[in-house]
Amino acid sequence: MTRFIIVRLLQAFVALIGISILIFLLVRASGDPTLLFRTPLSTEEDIARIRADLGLDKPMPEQYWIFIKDLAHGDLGDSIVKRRPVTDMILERLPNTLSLALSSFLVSMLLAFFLGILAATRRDGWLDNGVKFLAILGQALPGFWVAIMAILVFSVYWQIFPASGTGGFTHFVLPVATMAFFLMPGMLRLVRSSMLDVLDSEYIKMARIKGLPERVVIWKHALRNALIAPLTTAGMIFAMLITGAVITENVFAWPGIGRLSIEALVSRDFPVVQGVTLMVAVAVLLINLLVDILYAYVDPQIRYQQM
Amino acid sequence: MSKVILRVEDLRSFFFTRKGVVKAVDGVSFYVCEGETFGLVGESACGKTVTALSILRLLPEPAGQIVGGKIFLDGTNLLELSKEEMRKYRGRMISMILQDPMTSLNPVYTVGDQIAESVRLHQGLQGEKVDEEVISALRLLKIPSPEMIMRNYPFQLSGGMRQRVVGAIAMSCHPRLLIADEPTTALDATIQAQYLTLFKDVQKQTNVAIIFITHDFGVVGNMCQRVGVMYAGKIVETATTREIFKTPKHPYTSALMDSVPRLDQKGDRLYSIKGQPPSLRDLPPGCRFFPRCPVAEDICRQKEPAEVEISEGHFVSCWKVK
Amino acid sequence: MATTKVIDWDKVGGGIKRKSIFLEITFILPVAVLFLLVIMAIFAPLLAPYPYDQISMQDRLLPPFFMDGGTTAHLLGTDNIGRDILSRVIYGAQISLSISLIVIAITASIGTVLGILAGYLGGRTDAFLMRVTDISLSFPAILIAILMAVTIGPGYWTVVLAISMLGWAPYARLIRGEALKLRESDFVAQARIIGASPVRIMFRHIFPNVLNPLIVMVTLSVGFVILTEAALSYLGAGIPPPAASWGNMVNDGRTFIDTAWWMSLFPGIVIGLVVLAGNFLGDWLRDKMDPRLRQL
Repeated sequence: MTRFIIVRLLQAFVALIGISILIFLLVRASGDPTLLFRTPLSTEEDIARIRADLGLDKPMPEQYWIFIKDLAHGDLGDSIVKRRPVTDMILERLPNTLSLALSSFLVSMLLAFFLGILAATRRDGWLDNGVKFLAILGQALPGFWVAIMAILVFSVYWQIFPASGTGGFTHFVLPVATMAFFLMPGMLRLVRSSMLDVLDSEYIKMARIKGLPERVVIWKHALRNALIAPLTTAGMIFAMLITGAVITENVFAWPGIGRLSIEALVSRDFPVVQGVTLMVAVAVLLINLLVDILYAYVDPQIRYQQM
Repeated sequence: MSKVILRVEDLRSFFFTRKGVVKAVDGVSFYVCEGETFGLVGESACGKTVTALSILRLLPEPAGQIVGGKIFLDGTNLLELSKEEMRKYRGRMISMILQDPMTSLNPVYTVGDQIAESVRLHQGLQGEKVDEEVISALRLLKIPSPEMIMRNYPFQLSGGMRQRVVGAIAMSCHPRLLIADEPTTALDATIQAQYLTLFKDVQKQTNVAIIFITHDFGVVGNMCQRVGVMYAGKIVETATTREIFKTPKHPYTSALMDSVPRLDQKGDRLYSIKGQPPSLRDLPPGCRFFPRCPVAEDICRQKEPAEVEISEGHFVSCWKVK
Repeated sequence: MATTKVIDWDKVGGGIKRKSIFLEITFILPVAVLFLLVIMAIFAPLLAPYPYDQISMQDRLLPPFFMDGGTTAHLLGTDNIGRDILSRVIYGAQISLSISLIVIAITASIGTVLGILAGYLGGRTDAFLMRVTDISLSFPAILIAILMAVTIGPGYWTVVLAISMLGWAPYARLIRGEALKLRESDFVAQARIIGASPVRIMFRHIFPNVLNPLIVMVTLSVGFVILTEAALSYLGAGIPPPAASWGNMVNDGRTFIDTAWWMSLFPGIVIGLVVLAGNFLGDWLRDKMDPRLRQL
């Protein structure tokens, strides 16, 4: 198991280098990189300083070395609009994104698993059909539009929940609900179909033959096997979580990193966007690593092969 | 004769599908005694497995339903039990071995876990006692070094070994009746023979009654004392194995036996039964076998033959048998 | 042997006739919606009552025709600078449709090639490609798009590039799985025995056999691409104004949600309908062609 984790860590590290090269090249591919780091107010001296900071007069490999060295120190550069370290700006906003993303994640996954399993065990019943309908709708309607319609109904018309900003519990309701509506369907369908496959299997028949109570059959024998397929998509769920956060934070003026990146987009504050992207890249790699380990835990076959 | 442990009377199990009613089991009666092996023989999809699942009351609901008949296990009609009472019968009183050892063990739990679960549930044991029972169940199936095997996951075992584990699970709570649904079909020929011998041994030790489902008359001859031949949801002939081999009465039985390769008939081409079994969705009137029957007459087309006892314990449903 | 005729009982009496598959509602409705989308995109200048960018300050924020103050001249009302919403919705079809076609052409090609390579060659190639695929699958395309919008500037081709950059990954994953199975098949072994080159085997033997899942995946991607484009345009990282993209129409309406809800409502409904149609058609195709792909 340790060896397995070390190998995966090394792979993640290699991938990180790959991603940093990509971003590095993307900046240089835009022509004159200094354009990305200056505002209309920048003076000739500013530009010269940017040029020196980026090491643009040096050969490419050395430029990359400078870039990666700063990254390793957690230095993502300074915002050209706010003139503050990007790392600080991100860390400041991160808790807001985490609280939103985590609560939406929990709500949507709990619902997806609960409803998905119930739907699978009551195949073609009214609950199953209702759940399918909900999932189809959630996958087709654009998240940002659902959020705006939620504001129309709950903030403008009924005035139950606030339409924007952070604050108490009520501020959470609409963003979390709309984000969960966006996150849940994919997982719900996957849990349902994975559960249906498992319930059809011979070992479930065997568990029933043993006389196990139905709840043990479902929650012990079926669930653990049904978890394997959804777990492989955890990476995609993470991507959806970030996408959802960017969209939801913007609709509800939620001061997280999703909103930060769009604010930076509007003011063309390149270092901030780059910083957010890099941070997410690291998170993506960590998540993939975590999934691999979890996967090995759930499926003994993998655990034994890789040891 | 020893004590009758299971008596099935006029069992009917139908599947209600969108395309119509499938009469998978349509009036099946038989009995099994303690320490006896009763063979249930027939082509695939003739209702053997549905009969077995009906006895366990594990038909895939809501499509599959037992619509009539009685199933007495040691005097109790299983069809009158509540769901909860029936569940407690499963594993403890009746058990079953499924066809494919590769898929009938849960891949994410160890062999020991899967046996221990039954032991805890039905025998109410705790702690070390559970392990002792698990090991004795593995020993019963002659699994070498059970203390080690019980810590293995199914994928670490060979097919033959897995099927023994399935047997150990089935026998772990000393059931009165064991249903084996083609337990050797998925195994290699040599392992198959070993497994059958093992089975006979287990029966000798435990006096369990066995219903052995198969399509292979060779296996019947080896394993069973009595046999019922099933065709299209009905048992068409029941007799002792010896008698059925000596004087098969029903044309289907003879045809089925002729399709088994035999060493004493050199050079003959292997006989196979012409045509397909009827769709269980809309059965022909009259005898179900008449479209494929080499000796069919007009009466066979019009009326279903009744079951006749032609000698003691030998029942046949055929117009041609008097 | 007696001359007993063998009767196929499946064909005797009681059999229920199968409906023609083309009569199924889950097929007809999605096809109709997608057909309408194509018609709207191609004939937008003929169908739309007004140009998509015609501003009319005295007709600002008119509600749809069925409300007080609405007029049949602007069936779905107007936006904050008096542009006709119906016309903009019709023109919006051009962007949604063309972007999804281009993106799908790019991603399906790249994904299929990489998937076949990984699945057929196996070994290190496979391990490497699938690692890259896994990471690409878990990277939010939206961030790439924002990053590119900042470096290259937002626009039509930025959107195409940004979605394509990671969009090949699901194809690669799917096709690789299929190729892996096909690699073990007898006809591929046969081809190898007669000495066919790996390239020939991949192109002539593997590729035709992954077409079914590929078609299903392509259909299912239409909705995904349209949703992503709309989200990007909504965020300002997609198609810049004044072009009529459904996503930025919803965005225009965000500020006026308490007074002119129709600005956001209608484009959103259209997105939902089109995506729904694509998903339904994809599901339908999958059930018909390859029920194994239930989890797709």
